[in-house]
Amino acid sequence: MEKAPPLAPLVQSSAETMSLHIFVCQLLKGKWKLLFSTLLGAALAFGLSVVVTPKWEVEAVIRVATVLGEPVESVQEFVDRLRSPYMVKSVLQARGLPPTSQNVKKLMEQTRLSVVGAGVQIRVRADSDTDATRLAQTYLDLAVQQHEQQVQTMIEAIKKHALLEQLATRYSDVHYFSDKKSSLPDVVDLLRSSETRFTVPPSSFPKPVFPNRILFLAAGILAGLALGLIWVFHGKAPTESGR
Amino acid sequence: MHDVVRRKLPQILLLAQLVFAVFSLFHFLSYGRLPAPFFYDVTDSFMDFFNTNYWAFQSGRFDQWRSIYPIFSFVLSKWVTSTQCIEMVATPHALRACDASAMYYLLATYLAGCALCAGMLARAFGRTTSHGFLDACLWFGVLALSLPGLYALERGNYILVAFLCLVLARRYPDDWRFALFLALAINIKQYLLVLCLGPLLKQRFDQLLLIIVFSLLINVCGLLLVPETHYSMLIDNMTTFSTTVLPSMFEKMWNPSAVAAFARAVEGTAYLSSGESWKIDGVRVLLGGMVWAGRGVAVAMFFALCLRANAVSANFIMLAMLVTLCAMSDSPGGYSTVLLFPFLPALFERPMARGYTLLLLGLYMPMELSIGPFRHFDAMDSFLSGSVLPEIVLGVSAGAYVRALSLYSLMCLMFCDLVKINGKSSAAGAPCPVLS
Repeated sequence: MEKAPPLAPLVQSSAETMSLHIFVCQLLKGKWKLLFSTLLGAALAFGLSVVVTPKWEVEAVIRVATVLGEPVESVQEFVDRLRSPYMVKSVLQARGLPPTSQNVKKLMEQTRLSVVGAGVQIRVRADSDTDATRLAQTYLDLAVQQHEQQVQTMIEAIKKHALLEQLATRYSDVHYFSDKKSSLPDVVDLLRSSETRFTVPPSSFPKPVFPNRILFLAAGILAGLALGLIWVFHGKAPTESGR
Repeated sequence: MHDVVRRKLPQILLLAQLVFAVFSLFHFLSYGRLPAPFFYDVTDSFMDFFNTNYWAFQSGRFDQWRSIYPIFSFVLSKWVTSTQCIEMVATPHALRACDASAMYYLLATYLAGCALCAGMLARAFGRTTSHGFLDACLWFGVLALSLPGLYALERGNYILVAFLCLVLARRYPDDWRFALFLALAINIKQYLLVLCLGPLLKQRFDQLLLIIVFSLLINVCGLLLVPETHYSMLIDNMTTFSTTVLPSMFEKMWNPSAVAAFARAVEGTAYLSSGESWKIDGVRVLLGGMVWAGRGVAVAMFFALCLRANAVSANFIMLAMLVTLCAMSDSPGGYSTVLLFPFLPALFERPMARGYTLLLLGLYMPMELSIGPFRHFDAMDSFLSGSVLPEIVLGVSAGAYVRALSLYSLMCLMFCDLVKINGKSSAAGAPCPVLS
């Protein structure tokens, strides 16, 4: 194999540049160093991804309770409620875990919420898929409890403000109610169309979501490559007179 | 006169900035708020910082908050945010109230950047003087009290961390650390990618490759530390941010770095419709013409740099790209001119240093007298003073116009410098690196 030319200042009588040819030669000359460091980085990253505790994730969609077709709170308010430290601490307590700073921070980081149509998508991570499902269920249970109170409050408010009469007028032609001769409070209860519930039940991914082996490997390869490039070029790069 | 300005640049700037600082202090004590351009929306003080910090711990940072910051910003945010506060708050404003001391990290970063940069500027500028330490102290004062830096602090923008990274990159120009710090800066403000043109045109392919590898590595490590499934939305968010309809002309003109910001601000605004039509058309044509002429200069500058890269330093190339970016893009605020500081020594070594000095004076001189347009502000609470501010009318300051024009002129002067270099090189029969 032909030996690569030594690295030297080139091009237009300037000592500050490196031609593409010399750069490629230098890279080829140091290819074993580059390969070694890249493989080492990849191996270390892979080893790390095997050693760390895997995380499982479940995904579910929650729909907010409605009264007379209107949600008891907006989806964004519901997201903020689920995201609040109070809710996180409540979830921890309900799961029998102490609400320490570390646990709160961990659960906040491991719970991701986003608005999906009229519902809220919740994704929870834990050390096993069973734990993650239980956490998601706990979020729902607590939300149901809180919304139940809000629903009751709203119904009471409707009764108090005599909206029932308007409601009766509005629905007087509905045969169901007239045939049944239901009392107005019953009508209100029936029109409370839904409670807070899962529209998509918690389901886990088939594989753990952490460690992401591809990301770990990418980080290892890039770190190894960076170290290899420093190894190959460090101390040999020409200085730039213009700086 | 020009020589006096050239020799006394740090003294003149520092004196003006001290006067402005004293004025600002009295203004704050008297009215409970800082003067223009700091005061714009006091409910927004430091919120570039605390919004990022808050969303570092929440999902939806790219799909819900529509972040235009790369993932590395959120890694930094996680490091500086108090865990006690983040578990107690439900909004970014509540985080600001709880964790206000986190701003000291940004302040310390800024002062560290100023201190390191002052040494470089003093060395470059002080070749004609022998008072090295005194010069460094003067430059430190100039940088620390400069309006773009203080404005970035008031906004709480992570650009100050990018500034420190650029200063550190400049300290190790021939080292792998140059690539590392530049990659870090690019991962805070992605438009700094234009600085890669420096190593590329200087044919430092080793550094260029390292910058690319480090940038990718920082991104991947960022994704490991801050898990994010919607990172690909960053590009979409950036394009949406830059092309979105302006909510307010006033906001665009408040403290811009570019003439382009004024041109965009007057497009279809109702403010000018009250004036005479020929004047309105005149302003629009003038600004539009300046923007198009500037674009021509920017393209020509790019080709000139490619043609004569061997005749200028890498710092000059990087500064030229930064100046062009700041002068032609309306998206970065006026605080983006803080990024020019580490590369300013490249100007002092040029034959046109006198002209550059005068333009730098215009660029960094605080000239904050409201000259309009004006806008009415409702009463609001001040975060800094804690007092309730009454309704006021505030106007865009003279400094906003002078800075944009100075930066535009600086770009043109750098282009003239390159044309001159090209003329001399051609006359001397020097080969052109791109063509040879």
